[in-house]
Amino acid sequence: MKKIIISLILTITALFLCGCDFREPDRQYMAAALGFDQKDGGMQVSVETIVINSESNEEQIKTEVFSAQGESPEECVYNLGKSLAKKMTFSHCGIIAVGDTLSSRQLLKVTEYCRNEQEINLSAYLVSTADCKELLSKKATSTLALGYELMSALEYSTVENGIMYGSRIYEVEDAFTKNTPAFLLPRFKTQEDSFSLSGSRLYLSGSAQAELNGDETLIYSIIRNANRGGKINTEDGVYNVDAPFTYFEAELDGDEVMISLDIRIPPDGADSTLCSYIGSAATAIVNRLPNELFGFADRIYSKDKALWNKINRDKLLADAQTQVTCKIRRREDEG
Amino acid sequence: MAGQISDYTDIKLTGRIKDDGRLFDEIFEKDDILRRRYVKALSGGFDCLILYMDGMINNAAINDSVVRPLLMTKAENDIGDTARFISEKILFANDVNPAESVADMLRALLYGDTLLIIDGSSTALTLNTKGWRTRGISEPEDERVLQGPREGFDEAAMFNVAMIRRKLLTPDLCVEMSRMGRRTDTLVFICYLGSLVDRKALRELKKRMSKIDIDGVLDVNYIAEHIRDHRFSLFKTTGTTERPDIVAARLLEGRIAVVVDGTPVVLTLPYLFSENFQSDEDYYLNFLVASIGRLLRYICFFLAVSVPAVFVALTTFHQQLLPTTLALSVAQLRAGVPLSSVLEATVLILVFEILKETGVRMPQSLGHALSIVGGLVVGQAAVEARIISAPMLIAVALSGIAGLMVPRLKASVFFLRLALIPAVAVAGLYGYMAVGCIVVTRVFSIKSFGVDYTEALASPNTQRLKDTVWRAPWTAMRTRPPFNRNLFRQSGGRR
Repeated sequence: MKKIIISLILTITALFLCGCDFREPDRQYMAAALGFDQKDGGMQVSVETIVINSESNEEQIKTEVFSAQGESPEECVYNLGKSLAKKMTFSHCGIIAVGDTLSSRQLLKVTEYCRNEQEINLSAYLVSTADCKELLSKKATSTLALGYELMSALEYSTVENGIMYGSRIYEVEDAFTKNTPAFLLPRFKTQEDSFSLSGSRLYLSGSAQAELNGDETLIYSIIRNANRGGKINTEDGVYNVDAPFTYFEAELDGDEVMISLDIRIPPDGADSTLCSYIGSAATAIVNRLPNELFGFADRIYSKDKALWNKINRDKLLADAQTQVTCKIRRREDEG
Repeated sequence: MAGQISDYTDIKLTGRIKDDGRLFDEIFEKDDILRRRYVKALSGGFDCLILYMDGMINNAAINDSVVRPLLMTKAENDIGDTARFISEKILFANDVNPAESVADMLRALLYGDTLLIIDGSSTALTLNTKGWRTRGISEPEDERVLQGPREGFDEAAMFNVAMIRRKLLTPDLCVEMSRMGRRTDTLVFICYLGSLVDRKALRELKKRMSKIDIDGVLDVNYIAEHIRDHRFSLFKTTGTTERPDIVAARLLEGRIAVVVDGTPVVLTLPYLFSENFQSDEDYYLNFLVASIGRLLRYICFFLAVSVPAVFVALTTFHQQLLPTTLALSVAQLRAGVPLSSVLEATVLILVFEILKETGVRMPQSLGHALSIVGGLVVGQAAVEARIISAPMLIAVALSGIAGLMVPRLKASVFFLRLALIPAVAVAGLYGYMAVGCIVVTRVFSIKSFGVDYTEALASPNTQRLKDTVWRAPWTAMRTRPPFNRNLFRQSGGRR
């Protein structure tokens, strides 16, 4: 009897600790995508929602975009919830879109909100767009909700071009907490009644620094070793490249920091034309964008502590000379 | 007069046949099937009274072995003890026993023997003339096999014991007879192999059986519920079977069998948790086939208990664990269903049990009608009318079908299945884990006649697992279950 009482007490305590919640899947709105824009100094949330109509036999399932405003993401979602007839669930929300107008502080708040909101999956993608509400209002063609179509587009791009978008919530938040918080968000552009994955947007400390088109995004991903191989379009044709890799070297020449990037392209399907294309494209990007967007400081810090202690970080970021070479050789051939 | 047989233990015959006949008339004054026949035996030298219960005896045997010799034999001058003389020189019966107390006489009479009371003798003779009908040997409905022996016990305990003995041609087989039930005085046999039996368990069994004081024992379950460990446990701690080959196999493992007259079900003990997953056929089929079957039974037990609860937990608490397409599909199919998932699951589990019970009790001729009503009305029509949702119906049906794979655990499966529903309704998968932990802890604490219920499963020893989650080939099964000290069943150890 004693055992039974103890078991009951433990069970009831455990039940209270884990918190009771009870939801029927058809009696709530299922969010497929969330979008945050700046609006009147505050924030506006737009939610693409899957609505299941339990009364109608005809159009039982459809999507709708709801929006609400507030000072913070929490307040926006709270205000949104007040205007809805059913509870909103984010358990299947795959896309968090952030508008161009968001400040870095607001972007940080968004990532914090996404982390704290237990229902939102930490592996949801953060994407960038000009106007979230406009993007989420577009009709999906291949999936039920636009949120899932955006995910499909990203996954297709990963398969096709090998770009591993490091834009999941936990990755972006991780970038915020580091010294060189550079991260990339895939960028979607809207047309009249469609959308497209136009490239990416590079952020530093939460504020947008540059915009890359699709080809530049691919080269950027190769430089940052975030490419697992795929199709590369050049003027001379399409190449299928298998997992390129970029070696990073840094040395001090007087006061100058010399950085060399050695891109290795596996020989299968590659030729000198491709090599030349990648080399010149990489050089162009490296010369155009600030060094910090490539995470060079992080690389030096983790690779050569002695060098890191000798150099001036600001100087490195501002004046480092970067040289890019591209060779056709397997990574493992280096020994 | 009547009363209980034990009331007549100290009463003896007077030796005056009229008075003794009157005694039996008074005992059976309300029983019209007692037959009496007075015979002038040995050329009229002795009056004898033949008593028997009509319908329980073999008439031809009485006529040929008792009446005819008594009438045809001529008296001798010096016969000495009449009863002994008649027993040894006159009756043509192999089984003749003298009975001193009226209680013994009543027991024999009521069990189909013939009672011969001789004038002038206080000792009566009981003759084995049993002739009641039995159902005969047939394959048990609940324990059918595709390969292997097809005989099953019937309701006559003596025949059942004989069937066990036919399997175990060894003097090591011990059969202890006793009687239970104040009014039924039912024959109960305890069978075991003397050199293998777990003595401690045997002592415990006898001790517990001696404490039973009940009006009647009509089935082995009357005893099982009295002697089992953990009476209120969901898991049974005594095994039952209707197959003599199974009883023989269990006796060979050092277990004990309790055979009760009037039922084809034989009790075996100690009973281990892993036995719930063993099928009679496992030992007659190739070990690989048997092992797959056994593994499936474990999986099915898990599915039978868990599927409705886990489904409720996933759809109401942990929707993020469902793939998006499945979550959408479930939500869409649930649209318009008035019941909550919890209530829906509970109702469907109960409906499934009702259908199952109805099917078991229903005459076979109505089985098809039940299938149609159950399948169409409860299934299709209810889903179309949006009273229940198709995914929940599938979950409960899957659970129900999986439960049929482990019939020995049907009660446990039913209660656990139901108990998990409120747990997941309150706390989702946390509730499921909490109840699961309690159940597992409980199962591991159960004992059956001093033996750990999960003895083999709890051990990391692979030798002990060879007849639990899988069935090793016979060449590898050299040892008996671990509770048996006399461990080796094949060469390589003590026999």
